[in-house]
Amino acid sequence: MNKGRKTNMAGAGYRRWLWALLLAAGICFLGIGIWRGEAQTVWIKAIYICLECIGIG
Amino acid sequence: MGKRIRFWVQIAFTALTNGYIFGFLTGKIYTGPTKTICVPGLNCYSCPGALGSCPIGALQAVLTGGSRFSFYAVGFLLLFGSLFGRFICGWLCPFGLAQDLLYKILFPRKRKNLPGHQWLVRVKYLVLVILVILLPMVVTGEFGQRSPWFCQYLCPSGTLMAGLPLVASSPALQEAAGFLFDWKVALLLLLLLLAIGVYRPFCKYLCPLGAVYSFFNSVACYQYRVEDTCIQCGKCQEACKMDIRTWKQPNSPECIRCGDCIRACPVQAIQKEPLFRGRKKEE
Repeated sequence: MNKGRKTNMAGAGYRRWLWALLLAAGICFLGIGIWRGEAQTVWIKAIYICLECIGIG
Repeated sequence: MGKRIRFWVQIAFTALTNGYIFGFLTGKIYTGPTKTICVPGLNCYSCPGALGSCPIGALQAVLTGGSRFSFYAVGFLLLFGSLFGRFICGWLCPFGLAQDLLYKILFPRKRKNLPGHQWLVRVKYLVLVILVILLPMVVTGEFGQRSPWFCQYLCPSGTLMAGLPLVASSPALQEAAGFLFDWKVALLLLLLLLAIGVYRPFCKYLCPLGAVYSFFNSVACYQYRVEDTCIQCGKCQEACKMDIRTWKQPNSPECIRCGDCIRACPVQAIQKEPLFRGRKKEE
């Protein structure tokens, strides 16, 4: 096995860990956001026409 | 075949996330519980058909509400980004689909990029930091209210999918439309016209959601890999409308995973590889 291939496999291992960490962080953040009531904030914003978004101001 | 599959996935996902037909017929938006959930693409929640929320809109909604950080919106972005990266841009975003369709229109001098492309691609990161995060957090109006700067002054997806259908169906909104509406329509028209001659100009240069997902391309579940059989002929870059040197950077932050490079490679050196699948051992 050459050095380049070893480095690639080590890099892939690091990326897998980083991916798992980001995915776990995403799930945790979603939970924290729901607990803080941010999901409710988003829903309240989303069920009324956003006049700024449609260019009315 | 692959191109066709992508096209139909784009159509199906756009229809799924904007499937509230009653909204288009009556000029009213959906108010059900699924609006709590962010969809992965740039999909304005004021679109009459929208069944979910825009992640950028959700982020700004929380920031303009007084919070300094939105765990909920960032959680969605981390989740979508780590799973898909910019695959979302290429396969699941309605405004990306609109630009793809416009690029199919015959035009004598089509080009991949605008002049100054190498610098212009960085503008979307400025849009993300300044218009999406900083200004909504910091700038307050005379009554202490904060504004969603990106949605209000720039987002063409909101104008196309929400502004135009809602204003068209409501005399009251037509009365209220003023300079801001004219500005947003003009900006939308400019981008749509540009998209006929230049491939996906909004995605390349202005989209803050693309900017976010670009950070995930090298670690997302969906990956490309270049085999040792690559002969560096450059056909992948020729075929790539995002103008990426795929043989050098198969997981470039600009790659929207359209698969054109895979189809163009004469030696099938570019492979799709989920991150969690290990490479075959050497014999």
